[in-house]
Amino acid sequence: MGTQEDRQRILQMLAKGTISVEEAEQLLSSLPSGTASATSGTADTQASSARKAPPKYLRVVVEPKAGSDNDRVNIRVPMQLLRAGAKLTALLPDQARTQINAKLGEKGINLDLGKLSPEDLESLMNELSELTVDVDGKDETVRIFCE
Amino acid sequence: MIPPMLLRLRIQEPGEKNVRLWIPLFLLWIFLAVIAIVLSPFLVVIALTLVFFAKGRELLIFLKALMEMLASLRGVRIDVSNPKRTSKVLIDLR
Repeated sequence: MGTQEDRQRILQMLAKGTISVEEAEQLLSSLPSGTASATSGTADTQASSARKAPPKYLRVVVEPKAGSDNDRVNIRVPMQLLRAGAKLTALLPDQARTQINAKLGEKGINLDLGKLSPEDLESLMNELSELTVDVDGKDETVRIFCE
Repeated sequence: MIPPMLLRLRIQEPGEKNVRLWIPLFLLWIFLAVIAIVLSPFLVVIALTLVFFAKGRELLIFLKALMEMLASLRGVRIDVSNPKRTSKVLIDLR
């Protein structure tokens, strides 16, 4: 289709640096809506990656390996619960917050709980959609992910 | 956000009687609302006292976070099972 070729041409110009991201986005949005909104799966612009749906649940899955007597665990926690819990950090006493920040700093995490704004929290929660932890143990496998 | 209305509880242990319960949580919320209304004069006095001691903001944050946490419990699901021992514990908030 001609419009599909236009789309690929725009993406090639973007890849070569001939046009900027903003210009590419404007050109793509000017294409007919039926094709402009379709994803080819071959390119991933910054605008489309920024519009990912935020994760709704945090899942923890523990699967025992064959021959193991361990339990199978499946936990699902709504992300909204994590958001609400994170807001309680505003109630931490200053002394406790200082100690927590110091401990986080020792581990290389430069995060000040007292300066965590709602926008920072929301951004953190949205980026958790990329979080995947896979632990392959002797008797079980553990998976932590967001969906 | 709507708090969970039902709690589904299932406990299954070999050799024990199986427990399968559907607990209507909405009755609990109604009960808590009635309690809150009855205790509201005392809560107002406590709130005013905290405001006097410059702790009113913390009280508001706590109450708001508590309400949000209760409302966010909907969707929590904990499922622990062991096929070999045919045991299962399921907690599902809907």
